[in-house]
Amino acid sequence: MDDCDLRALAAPYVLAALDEDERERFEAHLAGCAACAREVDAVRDSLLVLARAGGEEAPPPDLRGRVLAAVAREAQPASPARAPAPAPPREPFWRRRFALALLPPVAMAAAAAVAVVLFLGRSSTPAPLKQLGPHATMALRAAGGRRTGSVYVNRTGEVVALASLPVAPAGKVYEAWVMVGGDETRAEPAGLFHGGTHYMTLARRAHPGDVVGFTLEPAGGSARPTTQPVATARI
Amino acid sequence: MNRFRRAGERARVGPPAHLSDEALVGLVARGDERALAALYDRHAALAYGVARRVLRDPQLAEDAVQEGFVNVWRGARDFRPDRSRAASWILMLVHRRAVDLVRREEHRRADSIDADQPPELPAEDDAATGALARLQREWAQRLLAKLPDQQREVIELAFYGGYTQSDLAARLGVPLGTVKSRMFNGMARLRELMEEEQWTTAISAP
Repeated sequence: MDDCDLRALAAPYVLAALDEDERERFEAHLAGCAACAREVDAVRDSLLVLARAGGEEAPPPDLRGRVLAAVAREAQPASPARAPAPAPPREPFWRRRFALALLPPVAMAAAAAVAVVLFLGRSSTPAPLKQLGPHATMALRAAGGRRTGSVYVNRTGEVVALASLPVAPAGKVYEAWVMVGGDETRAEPAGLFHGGTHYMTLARRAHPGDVVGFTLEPAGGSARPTTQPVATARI
Repeated sequence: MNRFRRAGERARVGPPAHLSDEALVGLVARGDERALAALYDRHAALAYGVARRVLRDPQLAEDAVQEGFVNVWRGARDFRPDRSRAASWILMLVHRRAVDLVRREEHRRADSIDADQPPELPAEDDAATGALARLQREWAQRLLAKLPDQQREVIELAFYGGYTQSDLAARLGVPLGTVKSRMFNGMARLRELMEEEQWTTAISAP
């Protein structure tokens, strides 16, 4: 079959005129519907007419450098000490953007127990912290103030977070952020996380005054937080 | 995580100027930062023009362009060059971020007194706008003018105003179904007009 009842949503989708939940549902549908994906691709070139009708405007000259720096941050491994290999990434993008030192997928109760052991009786240093080198430790606190993990930062600003959060609901994911200066409007995405208890190396550096936070976001993550943080730590 | 080249190592090499946009996206998909820089050089002015019209605020427009190009970097491997132009895909990503930001801003200051002011359009004869861009602008405006008024209205308000179909129904005082059919028919007509006048080529020439 090369047709689909939802094909009519391609035009409003391309114009960004769908409501947020409609857009999410259509994007989920797009992933599995060749007819709709083709329709979106076909409709999209019309944007060129709309954009051209408005005309060009020269961006500030320094924007180019900032865009390329942002892209370089995407490309840079979170732990630059390790030798880079040239192979192109083939994993899904949520795996490409951050390193997860996955603990075995154990049940939440067991995971929480592991976390408690790590919090209270750290007899041997876990590998992510060894790689971090000398570091400071901050409490990661849930919205109500309950401690739900730790955030470790070394002198160069590399961050490892040990977060213990309920498994994210279907279609959602936890996104880590570095909120520059604690300002939520300057939140930089730092990796995705499906919940449970994990160490993760953040894809962004953080510095004193920054806040590391986690929000629930639609699967695939967001470019900016769309919900209130479920847990935060001030560096 | 350690599969990436060190940032900046390749970005200093000269941009591959002879390559098509689509070929450049292919290189971006393989982690080539200079290909992304070349795409930026070709499309940033149009993308920033769109973002400025949607957002008005220059700072937010810069954010939209930056985040849009980061999404170009992230999504390059999923782009299908045989099906649409890279230019329109890049514009969609920047436009989408601009619309997300304008909705967030409007939500934040929901009772802002200037919420109903039309977008502030930059001066027509911006010094940075070349003769080709001006010509393309006139062509595009002439093409849009061929759409029935009601269809053009919903398309332009969605694209430049950042309104959803539900917003438009409320704003225009017409049923949601009417907005949907005007938008659908208008976009279909626009495609026909583009094909008839071979505008796809005319307006996307770098």
